Amino acid sequence: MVTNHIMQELEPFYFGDQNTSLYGCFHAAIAAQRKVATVMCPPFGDEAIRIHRAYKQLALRLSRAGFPVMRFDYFGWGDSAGEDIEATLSRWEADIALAIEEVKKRSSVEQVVLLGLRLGSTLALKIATQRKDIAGVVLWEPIPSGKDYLHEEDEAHQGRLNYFLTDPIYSSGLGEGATEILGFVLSATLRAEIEQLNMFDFNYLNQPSQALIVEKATTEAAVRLKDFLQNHSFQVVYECQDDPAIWGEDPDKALIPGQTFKAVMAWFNEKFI
Amino acid sequence: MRETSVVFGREHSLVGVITQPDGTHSAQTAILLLNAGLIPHVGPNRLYVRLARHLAKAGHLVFRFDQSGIGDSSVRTDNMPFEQGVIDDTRQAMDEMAQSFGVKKFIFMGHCSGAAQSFLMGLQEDRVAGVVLINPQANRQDWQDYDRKRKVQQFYQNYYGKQVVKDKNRWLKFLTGKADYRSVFKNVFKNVLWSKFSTAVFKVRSKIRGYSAKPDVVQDRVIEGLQRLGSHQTPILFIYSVGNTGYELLRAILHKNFDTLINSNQVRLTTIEGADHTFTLRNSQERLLNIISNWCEPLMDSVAPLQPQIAEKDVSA
Repeated sequence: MVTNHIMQELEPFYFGDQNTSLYGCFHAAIAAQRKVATVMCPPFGDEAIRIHRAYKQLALRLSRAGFPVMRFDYFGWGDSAGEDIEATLSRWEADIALAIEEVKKRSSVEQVVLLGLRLGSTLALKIATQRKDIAGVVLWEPIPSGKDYLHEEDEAHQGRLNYFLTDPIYSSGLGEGATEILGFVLSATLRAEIEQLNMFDFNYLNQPSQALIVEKATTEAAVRLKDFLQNHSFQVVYECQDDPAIWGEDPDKALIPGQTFKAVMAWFNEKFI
Repeated sequence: MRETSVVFGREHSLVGVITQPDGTHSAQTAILLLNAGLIPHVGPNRLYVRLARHLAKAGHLVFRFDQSGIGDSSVRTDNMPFEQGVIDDTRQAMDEMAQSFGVKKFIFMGHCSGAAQSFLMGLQEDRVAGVVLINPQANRQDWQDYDRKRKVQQFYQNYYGKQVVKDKNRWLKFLTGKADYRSVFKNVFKNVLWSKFSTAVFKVRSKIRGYSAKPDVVQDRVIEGLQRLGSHQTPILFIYSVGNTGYELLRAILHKNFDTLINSNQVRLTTIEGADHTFTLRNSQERLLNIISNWCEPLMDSVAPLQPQIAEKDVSA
């Protein structure tokens, strides 16, 4: 699919196979282009909608600093083709790989930094360990364990149902083993795949040298992750920035995590001249 | 069905996705989806994507786009006030569809504040074919407080009444002096019982006196607007989740005019049971899609093969 016109600050387009195409936005470098581009891996479901504004703002800042950026939606999510029930984690990993190739093609760079928030960080790290063209990873509010994450999301979903003024009415035909989480449907396959995700179990074949972990409040899991990555030859910068938890906030508040942005920009500017 | 991303508008600053039925088409009428608050053009819970695809599968042309400063669109560079900006952005979207597909009439559709904007566009535009208002809400503080209190009250009622009561561990904590009694007391008495009383008082008062005891600008605007749309025979669809106080608000605003204005031929009002404001559950999403699709059907002209002069413009894959 192609677009009519190209605006200055971003270019929206569809890419990948025509029937399963993904929606992406490319932010070309506005300042003198650096040697690495960035792919921003979105978090899951409801969170991807809530963080859209922040992701776009961060992409704009990076592109103004000379880093070409690609934002995109996973298959079955956002503007991309497919339904949520059709999504699988293996498909999303392939989507990240596709976005990497797309940003490399569009910006003519060889190296890419993967940036992910929440579940997006888990997938970003997994992909980073499998490829040779990843220069660094930004793990923003990382989710080391998919199992813990699902537990948290299930509780949040139940919490939202409690606000219903009448008894909720559920669908009977979601598909075998499918469940609902905050407005979206997870197939049994996707749920099982997320459940098995664990940052400490990835096969660290081709780890990038640089990693930034940034979180709102220090958690034991992130500190453990930092030590773990350092033991796997990563140069890890850890930042704790008390910004709003934008992934759970009302999008109408239009909150921007300014301190986190500063930390991310400083890391990019220092590590990738 | 085919989806195409477009950058459009005078400044090429607006972004949207056109969803069209299979094959290349022109259409007399198209559906425009207006942003729900600051949520991008995918809509709350990706509802706009599902809605656009559902409608396109039924043969309709749909354009969901981001207004200036929302989603992927750029911010305005002029000093136009917000409301005028919404009208201006929407007109640019209409012009884009007119130019690309020969569209002459539009159904304006939106959730929450997008509903209010759809109503506004219905009043401002001669090219209106219909208006769909999904869960329009109040922006007046007392109604927002009422809505919040009812939901918080319901939350604690469900939490204690359905979850905690079945939890052995919590009972054990409660009976062995390990519970946070102050917090339990506050939640039960303040957030459930007192809220129940104060929201009941608010409800009775609004039933008796309506939206406002004194003349009110919003009230006048809605009543006059409905009368004007009625005089133009513009079809209107109101959709309310039952788990939402918007319907009560409409009744209060229209008050004594409710029956006359809502029971007219061109207005349809429908409610969806077991749904919240943003249609969290798939069941409510499906029902919403079907209601809208069925309502739109008679208003939409069938799509036709693309005219040669339009085919020259490259908007598709």
